[in-house]
This record gives sequence, C-alpha cells and structure tokens, in this order.
Amino acid sequence: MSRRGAPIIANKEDGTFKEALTLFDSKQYKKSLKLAEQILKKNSNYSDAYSLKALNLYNLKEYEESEIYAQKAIIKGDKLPVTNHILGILRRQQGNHKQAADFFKAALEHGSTNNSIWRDLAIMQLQNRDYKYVIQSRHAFLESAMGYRQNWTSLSVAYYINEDYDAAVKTLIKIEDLVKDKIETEAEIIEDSEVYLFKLQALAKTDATAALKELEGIKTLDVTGALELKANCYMQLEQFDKAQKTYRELLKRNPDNYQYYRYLEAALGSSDKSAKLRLGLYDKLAKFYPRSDPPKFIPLTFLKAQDPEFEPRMRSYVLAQLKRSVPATFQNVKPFYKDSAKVAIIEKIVLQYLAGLENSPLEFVWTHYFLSLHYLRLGKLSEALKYVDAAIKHTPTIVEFYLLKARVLKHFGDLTQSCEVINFGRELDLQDRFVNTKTAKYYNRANQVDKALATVSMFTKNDSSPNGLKDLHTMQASWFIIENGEAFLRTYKETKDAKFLGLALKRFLGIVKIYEEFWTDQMDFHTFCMRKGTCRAYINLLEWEDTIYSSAMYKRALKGAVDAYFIILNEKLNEVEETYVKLNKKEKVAKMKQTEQDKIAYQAYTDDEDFYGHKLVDVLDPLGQLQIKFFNHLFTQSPDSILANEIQFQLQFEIGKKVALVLSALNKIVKADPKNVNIPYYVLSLKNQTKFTDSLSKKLIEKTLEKYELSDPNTLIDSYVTGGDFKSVLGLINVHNLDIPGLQLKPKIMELLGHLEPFEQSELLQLIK
Amino acid sequence: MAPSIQLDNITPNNKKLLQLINEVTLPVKFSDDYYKESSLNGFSKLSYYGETPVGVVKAKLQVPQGSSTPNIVYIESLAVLEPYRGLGIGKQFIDFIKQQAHISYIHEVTLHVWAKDEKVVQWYQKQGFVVKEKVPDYYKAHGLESPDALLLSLQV
Repeated sequence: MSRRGAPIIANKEDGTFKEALTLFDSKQYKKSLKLAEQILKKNSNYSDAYSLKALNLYNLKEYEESEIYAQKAIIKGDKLPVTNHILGILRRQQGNHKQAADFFKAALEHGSTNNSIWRDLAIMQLQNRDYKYVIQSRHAFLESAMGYRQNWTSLSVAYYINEDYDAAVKTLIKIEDLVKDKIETEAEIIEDSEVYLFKLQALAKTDATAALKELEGIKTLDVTGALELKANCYMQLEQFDKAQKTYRELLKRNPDNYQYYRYLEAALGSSDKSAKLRLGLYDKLAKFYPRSDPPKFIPLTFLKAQDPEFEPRMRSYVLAQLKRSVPATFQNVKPFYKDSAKVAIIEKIVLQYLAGLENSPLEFVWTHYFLSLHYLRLGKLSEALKYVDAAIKHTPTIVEFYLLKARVLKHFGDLTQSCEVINFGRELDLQDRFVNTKTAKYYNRANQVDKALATVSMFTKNDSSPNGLKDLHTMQASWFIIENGEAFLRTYKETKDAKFLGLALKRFLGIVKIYEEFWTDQMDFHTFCMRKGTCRAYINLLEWEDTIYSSAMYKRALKGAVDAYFIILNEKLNEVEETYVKLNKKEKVAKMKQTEQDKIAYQAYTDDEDFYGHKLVDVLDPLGQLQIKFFNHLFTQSPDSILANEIQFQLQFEIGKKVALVLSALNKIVKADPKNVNIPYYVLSLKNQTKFTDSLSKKLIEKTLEKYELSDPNTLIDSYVTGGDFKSVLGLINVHNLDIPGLQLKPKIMELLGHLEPFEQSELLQLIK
Repeated sequence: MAPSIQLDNITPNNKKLLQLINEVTLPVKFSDDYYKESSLNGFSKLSYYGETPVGVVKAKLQVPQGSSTPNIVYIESLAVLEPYRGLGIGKQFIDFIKQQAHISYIHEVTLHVWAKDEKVVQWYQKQGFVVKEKVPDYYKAHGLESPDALLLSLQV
C-alpha cells in the first residue's frame, strides 16, 4: 500500500492504526483515540488517523473538536479510501446522509476493496431517495456476496423502485432455483413466501397473464394478499367475470372490508347503474353476511333521500343500533350529514323512536346522546346541550355523557366549565385512559397547562421525574405535545411574556423531532426487510415515509411555528433572559427558585438546559430559522401542496428578495385550489406591496395581476369569498388587515361572524386589527 | 334481550360513583368522611345494568355495646337510580346482604329509613323487613322536614 506523503516506516503505524480500529469497533473510544493521537504525533500526515480521531471524539461527545479533525482529514486525505470511509461513517452517525453517501462513494472511487461500503452506500442512497444509483450499489455488493438470498432481493427491490419491473423479476428468478431445496426453517419459509408474492406483484405490473398463471394453485402464507393480486390482474386484463368471482371469494374471507364491495361493483360495472339494480346486489349480499355493516350501509349512500326505499332502510339501520344502545351510532350515520334531506329523515326517525321509550332506560338515554350529537353537528348548540343535560339527569353515571357535554360547552366557548365537566366525568372512572387523555386535552385548550400535565401524568411512566413530560416526548405522544405548544402560544398572546413563546416553539419543535425520528427509523428497514423478504411491506413503508411531512399533525406544528416566528419578527419581545447581574440578592434567590420550579414543570428532555426555548426565540433571522427547522421538510416533500405554498408566499413576500418565488407560490395555490378564499388577500398584498421596488420585479407582479379584475377590490373579494364559514371569514380578516384605503370590510366581517359558533367568533375577533 | 344485572366491587378507581348515586337518589347528604372512609369492604357493592352503574349499597357490621362480636349487619346506604327501579336491582342488593350476614353467622339486618317516604318503607316491608322502632329527629342534622326515621329490621 502506498500512501501519499507517508514515510517508509509507515508499516508500524499501520499496525497501530489497525489496533485503533479494533478498539473503536469494540466501543473503546478513549483508547482508540489515544492510539490515533500516538500515530499523528509520529506522522502528522496520516489522514486516516485524523478521521478516526474525529470519529472517536464524536462518540465521546466532543462535537466541536471532532469537526476540526474531520476537516483536517478532508484536506489531507480526500483521495484516500480509508479516510473517506471513516468520514462517511462519521457523517452517517451525525445523520447527514447526503455527505455520508459522498464519502462512501469517494472511498470506492479511490480504490477501497472493502465491499461492504457498497451496502452502506446503497442504504444512504435509499435514505436520500437517490433511487437511480441504488441499482449500481446493490449490484456491486451482490457480486461480492452472491451466496445470500437477501442480496438478490435487495437488487430486485432496487429495480422495482426504479420501475424496471422486468429486471426485478429476472433477478429473483435467478435465485429461485438456487434456493429451491434449501428452505427449511420457519423464517426461511416465510421469507420464501413473501419474496415470491413480491415477484408476482412485480410481474403483474408488466405481464398480468403470466402472473395469473403462477397465481393459479399458488402455495402461500398470505392467501388474502395472493387473492387481491389475482383480482387485480383480472381487472387489468378486463376479465371482469373472473375478477368479480375473486372479489366474492375475498368477501367470504372478510365481509366487513368496504374496499372489496367497491371493487366488486367495479368488476360488475354496476356503480353507475340504477339504484334498483344495485339494491338487488346488496340485498343478496346482506343475506349472505347478515352480521356485516357494509351491505346495509352502502345502499344508504347511493339511494336518494326521496327514494321510497330510503326511509325504511335508514330506519332499520339506525334503530337496530339504538336498540342495542350502541354509543357509536351517530358516528356511523355521520357520513350522511352532508345531505340535508337525509338529515331531516334521520331526525324524524329518531325523534319518533324516542317518543316511545319511557320504559327502556338505556335506550332512552343513548337516544338522547344521539340527538345531542345530531344537534351539535347541525350547530344547534342549545338543543345539543338540552339533550345531553337530560341524559345526565336521567343516568348520571355514564362517562360518555360528560365528554359530550364538555364538547358542547367547548363550542359555546366556555372552556373553563368545559374542563370542569369533563374532569367530573373522569373522576367516575379513574382507570379510563381515554377519558384521562381527553381531559388533559381540554385543560390544554383552556390554557391550564399545569392541570393538563398533572392529569396525563397519572398514566405515564414517570420514573424519577415529577411528571410525565419527558415520557410523553419519548413515547412520541404528539397529541399532547401539540396541544401543549398551542396552549403556550395562546398564553403568550394573552400575557405577552416571551417565556411562553419559547415554550411553544420548544413543543412545536418536539413534533418535528418525532417526525424526523420517523424518517431516520427507516434506516434499519433497508436491510431488515431484505433479510426477512418483506418487500411488499417495505415498498409501502417507503411510500408512506414520502408523505409524513404532509401529515395533519406535522402541519399543525408548522402552522404554530409560522405564527410564532412571525411574532418574533414583528413584535418587540420582553427580554427573554433578564440580565441576572441587574437583580439584587433577594430577587436572585427568587429567580433561581422560579427557574428550578419551571425546570420541573417544563423540561421535556433529560439534560436540556434550554428548556425554556430561549435559544429558539433569541434569533436574528426568525424566518430563516422557520425555514430550516420547520418549513423545508414540507416544502421539499410536497412542493405543490396548498399549505406549503401559502407559507412560501408569506415567507418570500416578507423576505422581499425574490419576487419569482412569491409569484410561483401564488400560481401553485391557484392551480391546486382555484377557489382558495385567500386569493384576494394574496392578490391585494401584491397590488399594494412596497417591498419589491426594482422595475423588473414590478413588471413581473403587474403581469401576474393582469389575470385578476382589480378595478374594484370588492368584486375580487366577492368572487372568492362566497361562503360564510370560518375559513372565508379568516380570509376576509386577512384582507382587512392589509389596511387598503377605501376598502370597508368590517361590517361584512361582523355580519358573517354572527353565523359562526361562539368559540370561532372569539378566535377570529382577536385577529382583527 | 334485557341487560344483565350484576354486582361488582367498589374500588379506589370508581368510588366516586358511590357518592354520585347516593347524592342524586337519597334525601340525606352524607359527609365527605363517609366517602373518604377506606371501609370500602366486602359489604359494599355497585350494581351494573348491562355495563351501566345504576345502584350502590354500603353496609357494615355492628358490634353491640359491651360485646366484641358483631351481631347485626347495618345497611348505611342503599340507592338505585330512579329510572332503573322495579328491575330487581334492590332485591339483588338485599339478597347479597343476607348472604353476607349468613357467612358471618349473623341473624339480623337493620337500617334506618325516612319515615315520611312511605313508598320506600313499603318496599322494604315487601323484602321482609319489619319496623323495629321509631327514631324521632333522626335526620334533624340533615335538615329534613319531619326528620323522624324508622329503624327496620330483617331476621335472617
């Protein structure tokens, strides 16, 4: 081996270096570090030792020093395989998978003979979604270890995700013969069954006939999966009769799966046929599967309310459940509430039923419960309250009634009483975790964070901590963390105490961390699933991971963060950390005591010194922080989504540097949601803007605005804001807050507010400038 | 199918139900100590109609003065939510108490009842209780009008 600039006696150091590597592998970082330093003392050009030193320091948590030596290693050893390999491992540990991939690649390019780097590289490329390059890496590694089935599987999956299904199938066929007689253990049998179905799934993508041929008489552990694939193939080949027979077979296995009914109708081509014909089908199915819900439910979705068949069927559907006092009856009919004619019929049926229930106490109260939910859904809050109150008066021992009453009160805007009611219900059954968490949620809604935490802590693993906050973060209890964060944000708005702004951001960031963990958790599966052969599940996992940052929870955290960072940008905050020296002795003691108490109440991570989130608030570039910490995840993963572009518009407009980014965001919003109620706000912000002053920007804006009728802003507003719902009023308020001369929106806002529920009104009123 | 009626223990997790059912059902209000008492022993039971708690009984052993062995099971409170009466829930409570007395080799069950509430008195008589004595002003501290009570007794 020849080293650039290495002296002839390098051999001795090579020996020492090997020893140091072994020590590192057995996690003896201090000893390994010592040896690396020893080498460097003798030979300051030995870049492998620099990289190993950096890696050891990183594992000893000396992050800054580690980076210094990493940089030295990069300068001195950029063409050396071992240096690059070790740097790749370092970057992987740091979670920087892009750079890790670069270093692994460099190690291989510069002649590393360590073939396992190909596997490491493939995993990084998968993690980075550089699917194109995975094939080469998996292929190279397979060539170095052809005796393992998982390596063939890995290559096949690499082809699959690149949509080269032919190659995916061919790869697996090659190994099939080799392993045929060697499948013995249970694990191997499962693996074989899974990989085989994966092969057929790939095959079906290009040649459904061939796939069907193999599916005939297939022996597999996943019978359902095989049948679904079979039905799918028949549909592809338009052999509808065979397809419908297969779906009926599936229904026999699981008559509660709604999807199968839909597919069956697709195969029969009955979806757009007459209601009468479809009724015939479902009545037959209902006879076969009398205990299943779908054949009774689905006809109610396609029958028109005016159809004479509708009312009697709805009656027997609803009453069958009310007679058994099923608490979820309302949930089950809720889908019909989009159709007011159907709602009227449901109301009539249930009120009639209630009239004859004097002597059946349980049916009586649960029907009251149903009606309360019914009126709540219709926004008739007083009626809702009347019915739930009557239910409680009749049978005060049923916990669900208190949950519902609390919910009705919440809609009335009375959060304090709402908490009291739900907590009373909770005390009736202290073992009920569901009620416990709901109560904690309501306390958060009422900004009573201490009570929220105390309540939820009755069910968390608290170990040595005084409450469950740390456990909730470890267990990724995002429902609590987000409610807690939003409560802090509201508290800031009420008190203007910057402490709460920091705490809010801390919680929102807690959500981001959870989703980042979801993302890194994939790492193990790139290997694990290949070994187990569970490729179909693996493909689903990859697809799901590609949507995590557009999940409702992540979006909520993001919205909260946008709110918080714009506050940091626009409001003058009280000093986050009061200068300690300014205080007198007594004040100092009091302050320390307060800090200790707060630490107990608010510290979410062990050893987190910045538990207030001071460092999150005390930033010079809030918008930059917003992008890096919160926004980029969503914007990278779903660049065309409405929310991403709404935020992008707001951000780039505020930054005021690149008008093209602002306009492209607007265009994407209009494209994805042409009736978006915020369009007048965006258009008028641009029309009245003062941020972009150069002539090119102004021209671009002018050109974009040509599409909109702007002679009278009122016309523009009226063409988008047609409804009187929460979102529309919010859109109007945004326009109002632009303070455009001559535009009087307040009377209209006030009028529309009158139609909203009390708690929505108070939320919106706060936003009016 | 009518829901089943079953007795179950009062535990620290559901003992609030004892207070709730008593308070909405009985004319007298017990002190907090009554509910705080850790004596949620085998003589106290909740009754479930299906899955819904609808009644509760609390009883204890009574030791006569000058003796160390109990000779009476005393029912401190017995309550069934109004809409769930006439379903046999109260009778099941009495049967349960009788059974407990039997196990403890005790031959008498007693309780106090508001003299004015004839319906209740009649119900107990139907279960075999007889009036042992009239206790004037028994419920005076509870502020009931005509606060006399009847001490009812059942031989088992």
